[in-house]
Amino acid sequence: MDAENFAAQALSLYNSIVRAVYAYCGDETLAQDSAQEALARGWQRVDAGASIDSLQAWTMTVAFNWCRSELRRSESRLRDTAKSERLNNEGHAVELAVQSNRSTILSHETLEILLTLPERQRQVLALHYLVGMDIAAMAEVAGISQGAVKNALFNGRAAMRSRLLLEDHTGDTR
Amino acid sequence: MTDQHDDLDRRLAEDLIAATEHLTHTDTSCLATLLQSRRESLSTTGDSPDTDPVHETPFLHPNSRGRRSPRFWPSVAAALIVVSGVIGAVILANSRPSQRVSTNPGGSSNNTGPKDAPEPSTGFEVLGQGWHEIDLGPVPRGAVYSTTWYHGRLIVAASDFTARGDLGWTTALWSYDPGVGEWTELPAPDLNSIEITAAGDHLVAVGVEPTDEINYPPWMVLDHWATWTDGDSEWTARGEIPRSPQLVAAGVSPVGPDGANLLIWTGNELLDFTQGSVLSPATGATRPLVLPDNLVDFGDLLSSEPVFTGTKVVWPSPSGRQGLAWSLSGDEFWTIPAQPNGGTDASGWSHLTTRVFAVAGSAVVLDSYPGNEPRTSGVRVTRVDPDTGTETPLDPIENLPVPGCIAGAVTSEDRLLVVPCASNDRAGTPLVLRDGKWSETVQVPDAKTMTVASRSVTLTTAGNSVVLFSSLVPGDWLHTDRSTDEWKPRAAVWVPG
Repeated sequence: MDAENFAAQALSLYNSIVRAVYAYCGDETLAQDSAQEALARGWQRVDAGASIDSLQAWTMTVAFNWCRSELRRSESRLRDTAKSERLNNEGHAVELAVQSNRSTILSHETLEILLTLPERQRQVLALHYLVGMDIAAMAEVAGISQGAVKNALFNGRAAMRSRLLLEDHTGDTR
Repeated sequence: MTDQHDDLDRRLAEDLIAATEHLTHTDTSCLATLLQSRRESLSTTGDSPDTDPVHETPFLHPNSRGRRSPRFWPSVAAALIVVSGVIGAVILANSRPSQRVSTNPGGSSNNTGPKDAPEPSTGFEVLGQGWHEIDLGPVPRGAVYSTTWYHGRLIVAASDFTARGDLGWTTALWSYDPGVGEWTELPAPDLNSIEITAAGDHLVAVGVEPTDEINYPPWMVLDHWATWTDGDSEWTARGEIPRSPQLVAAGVSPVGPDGANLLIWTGNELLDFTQGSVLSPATGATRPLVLPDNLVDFGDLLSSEPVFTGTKVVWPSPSGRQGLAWSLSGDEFWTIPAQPNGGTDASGWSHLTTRVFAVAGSAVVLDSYPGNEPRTSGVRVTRVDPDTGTETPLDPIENLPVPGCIAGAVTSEDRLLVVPCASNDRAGTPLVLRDGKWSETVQVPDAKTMTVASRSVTLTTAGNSVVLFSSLVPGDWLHTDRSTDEWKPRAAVWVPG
């Protein structure tokens, strides 16, 4: 399959992946990198005749894997950076460093709040709201049981609700 | 209530879509060009179902394939501007003569001449039960360190990006014999930014091949290796470590918590899970680690860590997914059954801070999440049976001085030693997990400095004992003044009762 044909078929898939991974990691460059790597691999495997039950689930999983690997590597590096800079000793250094690594200054409060949630909740909420995946598909991509997906979805929504209400309230009183 | 749910769902969906809209493509030709370029890049790294994985070019970090991070070149520019100020740095050529430095009680260091044949070591037991600080004497300050226990001696590798003065790396190796309290300099491999590990009679280093290009520290990929044995005058270069096509296809590059390669010595072979290769230190041969083609389907497994239980290598998946186990040779794998209903609740697992240890034949998983909200103070502990996948929650580690922060942990015989991070106010007492129960040990010497969260701490098994190595790691490699005492690495050894 040539590039134009594959790109035509994969355009909406690319957009889904890049949105979801960006909402998961908050880094534009990393999200684009992850989406392109995943689709390039998916294209290659399709051409080679490999069986991919669901190109969407497979490429989405590869994109999250890629993103997570890069985050883990950079998290370690940035932890050391933060340590050397002695931001403080109360465990905030990692978060500050990781946030400072984001290539975009986030200006959207809902996305900012989402990025403060635990990793699993971020992933599931991103897949639910940005890709529209059902529970089974999310479980496949996230590599967890459907029960764990429901838990993450429930807890993530509850956290978002309370945080958004808090933000709204704070905004009203300013 | 339903209306409230609908409102929340609508708001979340609309807001998130709006916040990510700018990243989407509408131009098929543009996407086609991007993907074509990506695919060509994949082809040059051998990521093809038809590629012979033994001879393929190793997959490199994306920034090593010409796709530099936007943060890279400004860093290099800054590095070049500052290089003139670094020229006066101490020059430590790899070829300098070996020397011995005594660090016997009293702490004074003196050179005692060229290296002789190593003498028998008695291990750290001579120090007696408890924690004892070790004088690191001649070990260079301000470097990145790797430690291992080799032939009854503590080996410390120090890699420094700035000491040579030309933006090249220097690598120095020192050996400490606890029996005589003496440091001996060893030959260093011709590799940058090395990680060392003992592999039977061999000392193995994985690192970056020196090139004419500037290898700025953040983008190191340790894809070359070398071996050395006691008495050798120099290291034997073993070349590139092949990259597993399955790992490439899965888009992962598993690394340890310190960002280094995951290396496991099984008694015969060294399994490199970061590259997906089996290394034979005796012959220098490499071959691909046998991995399932459907690695992607193993999901969270890829962010966990493989460990050696003594009879096999297990890669547990603390998430209700099946895990993997390998034979000692790395030539055969089998799956570990997943638990129905996901075993323990995995929704809060953090895959950036998960650590796995082999303790008494099982895998023990420590999990914390520094970004959790609300912040939890403890660390979750789960034992995973390597045969059945059964997950058993153990008592969590609580009341940590720094929420969720473990400075270091290591398995020693049938025990797991965990050292908490110290805060400015207090240091945590090291804990030992044995037979599924936690107990406290005595405090690390000067723990509020040695284990403070701002320092990098690694724990290394040294016979029956454990060595804690503590150092500050330069974040800004060229602008950091490392001449002050705080940049001296510190070390202490724990001798159990």
